[in-house]
Amino acid sequence: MKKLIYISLLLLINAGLFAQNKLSNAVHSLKNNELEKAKELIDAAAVDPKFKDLAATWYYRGNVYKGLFKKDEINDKQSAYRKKAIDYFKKSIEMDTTGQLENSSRENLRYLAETIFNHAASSFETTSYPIAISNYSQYKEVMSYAYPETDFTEKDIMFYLALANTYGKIAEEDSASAEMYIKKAKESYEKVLELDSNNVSANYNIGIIYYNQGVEIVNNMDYSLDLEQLNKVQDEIIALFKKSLPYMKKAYDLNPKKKETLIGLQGIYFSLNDIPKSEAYKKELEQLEKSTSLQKEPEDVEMQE
Amino acid sequence: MSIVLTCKSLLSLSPKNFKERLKKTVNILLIVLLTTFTAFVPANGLQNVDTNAKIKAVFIYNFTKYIQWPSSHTEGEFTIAILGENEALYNELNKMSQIKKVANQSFSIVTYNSVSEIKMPHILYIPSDKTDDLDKAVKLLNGKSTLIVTEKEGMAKQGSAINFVIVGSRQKFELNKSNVEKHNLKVASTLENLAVLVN
Repeated sequence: MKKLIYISLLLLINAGLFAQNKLSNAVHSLKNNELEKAKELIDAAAVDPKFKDLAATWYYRGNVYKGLFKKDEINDKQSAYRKKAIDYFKKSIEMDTTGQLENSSRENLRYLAETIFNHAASSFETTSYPIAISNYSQYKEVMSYAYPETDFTEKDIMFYLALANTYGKIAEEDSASAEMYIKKAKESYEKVLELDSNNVSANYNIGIIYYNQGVEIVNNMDYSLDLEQLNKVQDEIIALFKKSLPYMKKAYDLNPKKKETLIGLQGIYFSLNDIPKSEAYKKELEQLEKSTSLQKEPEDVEMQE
Repeated sequence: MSIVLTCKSLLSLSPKNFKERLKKTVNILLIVLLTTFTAFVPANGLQNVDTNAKIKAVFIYNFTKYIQWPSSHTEGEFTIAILGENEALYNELNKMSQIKKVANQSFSIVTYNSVSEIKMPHILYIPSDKTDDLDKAVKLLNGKSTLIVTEKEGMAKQGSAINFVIVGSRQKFELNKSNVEKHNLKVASTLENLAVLVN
């Protein structure tokens, strides 16, 4: 009987040691970059009652999955390993009563969030932009969790500018749905202006969008349009050109040396039949081009010498 | 207790090198991101279209509907001539000529460099920079069935039949009925009703 008790005790101790080893072995494997083995061990630890409530289990599980993401899915914009790693680091923070793993978990979350952001940035193509939208939203969610004080203003501006630009490209490529995508582009630029009313690019592009809408109406106008209808169309396009003007003017005020803005103002005033103002901007553009070419000349001379 | 100890030992392993590596990686990423984002230059450009020229072409097409030329002028080509250079209008009228007709008459769009070249078009368009030639053109076309169209303030009083004017950013037209009739042309009341009448 005594012997049986000893054996049972020994078995219990062994079981305990094995259980402890699940976690320490996982860390050991992780340090040795044996990620598949580490995954197996840490996954087992995560469901083991002795480890599942420990912050360290989730912290290292996060690290194992982060390692797997880097090894196998670094180019996968919607990596499942990364998603899990994020969940595990979050769980680690929630369980970390001592706070010892917290900073490191948050740093890991930052790293993973930045990779999501990176993937968002490289997804601004006409076909993959939904990934950019979803990744950027995920990036903000993770960063807000890890660092609640994060100021996203600058990145939001970059994001909406890139998104608007992508919508513009889609509109150019797909005439059937151009109107819808131009509307989306305009909304994105408006979001930029909500964040920074002095953004030159957003002001310029909204100006262009309104102006081009007017031009499109004119382009699609039938030559046999009757005169009463023509008057109505003129009212409609003039309203659009007038809407365009303050945005283009603001872009000009913010950067008077931008050629595109001068061309824009010249075109808008011309379409509004304000020829003197159109001519004034045309002259300014010519002067700008002249001064630009003069600035270039000395270099050219030097190069010739 | 043993578990807590194990965790502590694990914590001692808590990877400082992870942090350092992380910082390095994040820095590299930020450089990549900044480079990527600075490449996001707006692509949508301004459409380079002379909207006024298209609007004028629509007006001119309407004039062909509401002005009646003598029957001797309703055969052959319907000629619209521009005195001097107005590339935008010339191009628009050419586009129009490819898809529209006046009854059975096809359009012919021509340019005259000077008054001396003027033959007998159905419509003669005199751009603002050529209005000094209006008097000569009126004299040359006296009694001929040519509708003279101008685009400078006061021209309807100086001999043109129709003169484009700007009213509140909008293109409108003045109509001098007697100048129309001097050229054996008839104006439909519809056109009169939409015009700014000038005597």
